[in-house]
Amino acid sequence: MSEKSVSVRNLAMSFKDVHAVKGISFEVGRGEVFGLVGPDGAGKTTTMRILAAILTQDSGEAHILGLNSTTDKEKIHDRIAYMSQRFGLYQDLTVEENMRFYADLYGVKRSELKASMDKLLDWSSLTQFRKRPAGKLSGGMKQKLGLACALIHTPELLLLDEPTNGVDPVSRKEFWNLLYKLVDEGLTIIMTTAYLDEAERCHRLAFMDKGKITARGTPKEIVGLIPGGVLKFNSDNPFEESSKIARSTDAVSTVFGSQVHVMGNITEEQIQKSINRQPELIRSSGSVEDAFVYLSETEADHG
Amino acid sequence: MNRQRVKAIAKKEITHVIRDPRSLGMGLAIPVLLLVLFGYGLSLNVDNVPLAVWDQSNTLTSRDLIRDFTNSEAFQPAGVCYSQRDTEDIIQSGQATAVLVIPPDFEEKIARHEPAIVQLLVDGSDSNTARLSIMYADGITKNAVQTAAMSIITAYNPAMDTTWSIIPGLIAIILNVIAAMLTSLCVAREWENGTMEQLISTPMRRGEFLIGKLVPYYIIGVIDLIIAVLMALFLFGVPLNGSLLALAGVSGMFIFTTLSVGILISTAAKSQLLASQLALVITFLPGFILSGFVYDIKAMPAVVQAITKLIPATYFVSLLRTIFLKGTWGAAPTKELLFLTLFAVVVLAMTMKKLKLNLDGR
Repeated sequence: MSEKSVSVRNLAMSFKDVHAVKGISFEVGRGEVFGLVGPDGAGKTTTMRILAAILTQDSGEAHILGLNSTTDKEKIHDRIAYMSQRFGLYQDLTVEENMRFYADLYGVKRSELKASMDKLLDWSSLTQFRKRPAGKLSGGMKQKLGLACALIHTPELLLLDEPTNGVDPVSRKEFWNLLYKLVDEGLTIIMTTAYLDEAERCHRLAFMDKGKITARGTPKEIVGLIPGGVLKFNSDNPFEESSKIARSTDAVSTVFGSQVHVMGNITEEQIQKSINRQPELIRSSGSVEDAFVYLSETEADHG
Repeated sequence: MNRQRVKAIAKKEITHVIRDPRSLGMGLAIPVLLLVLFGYGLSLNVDNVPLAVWDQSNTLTSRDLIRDFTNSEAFQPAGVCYSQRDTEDIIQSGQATAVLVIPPDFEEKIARHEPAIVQLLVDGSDSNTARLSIMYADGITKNAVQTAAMSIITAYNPAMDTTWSIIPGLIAIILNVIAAMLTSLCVAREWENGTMEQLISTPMRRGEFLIGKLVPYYIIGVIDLIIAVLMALFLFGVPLNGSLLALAGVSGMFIFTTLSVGILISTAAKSQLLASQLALVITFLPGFILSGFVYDIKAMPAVVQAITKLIPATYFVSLLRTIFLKGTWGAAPTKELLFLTLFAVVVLAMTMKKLKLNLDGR
């Protein structure tokens, strides 16, 4: 058996005249946390749906656990878990009833159900809410319940489509702790996210933009794609000064709070000249977020 | 076909219905409400129907008969006619709803123990009153003179159905509407709430999904049927002349037919709003108007008559009336049962074709 959990080659998909995915290729190893990152409309969800074998691509191939995504759909469904953006929880069913429903759909044996349910409830700290209707849970708890339902049949691959979208930071952190526990147990996870702080937690990333993968690698490798690192300075008019730099030089400039981050081949003098003052410049290697801003602005293709 | 999955889907669907007061109300309270409204709305008692008389015989016997009519609670005297023209005018003006016409040879025929025929002209524009007047008049005449027979002429609505048959027809309409309305929501709801995307990523198969969805609504349909039949028998006193088995068999088949229509609508329409409106237009309106429940099919134009033959409710209304009132299977009930079965099979096949457990083409 191959060490690759997922292998995608030249995958392409379009809807009417919109090319959602334009021939992407990537591989995900067993036990890896792989992040598909990118802006809305980049084609992340479409890719995930193809991997979950609920959408058939126009061309290209996807092998999931060694199974062909177009011809072995049912076998794939047996062995993976897919958590859609709006996870399919039934609001009027209780926590337990939702879990039991998915357990039955996946054919979990009655004799094993109680033990795995107790374990998952405990693991997601939902035990005290087991009789509560899913509709009455907080966003973070719903997310955990969705994950618990997805894991009830102990899948080999977990596909998460923007799992933490709209979830508060504390719950997000908790959610990630749960994911790491799963990875320790050997589960492979592919997730999409628009949160770039989350991207840094993945083992490997692929940055998707307009249906293409424009950069890939470990978070560290992605950051390394910014030539010359990042020049940061504080500003009272960050947006005005940022756009001045962008207009008068070839550099990419972006605003984080009251800070302006400048990337690309640019000297300190060029910055001073374009904004007509001498700010205190700090040079750093930058973050994944800086890297993605740089990559999408320059439309560079490192994929 | 995995039984664990079918059971899980059915159980979940039942839970939805039980926990949602709206669908529970629609499933159980509305049938009762409709039966009561229509059952009592179409009252069985007619009092003091204005009756005019054209007594061409003018004998002791004919006057006895007229007295029997006017002494009854059903009729009250409303005038005397002396010509064909008079009888028409008096009904046209609304002064009388019915005219009793006694022929000149009435007494002679009675005396010779020959069949004597009296005529009743009825204003059929209020078909219910007309129908009941005829029943009463027939009874009174037969009581008075054994050999008399009544010839009935109904004005304005000549094809009027003379069997009292509102309640069996009503049962058909209620089952038709409830079953289709309830099921019409059940697939569309999954798409609308985003739960379908999750469901299709599981190993669930189409057949399992469909059966799991149908079973709970079938149970509701059967409960509705039992409630409606009990109300018909004990509240409205409709006689069940045919066999209970025939009633159960035919109704069971019809519920299946109408559920299949509901689930096809639900599969084709991707929003609950559209689905429920479609269900209303596709099942309720034809069921009500074209099934022969309210309007007699024989009185419809040929084109419309042809359409009524494509509506399952038409067959069910007629089968139910046959079973309840005639007590037989009627002329060709197998043909009607066959149609219902075929209809359900075709519709379910279309549903299977339409139901895609993936996002392709969405």
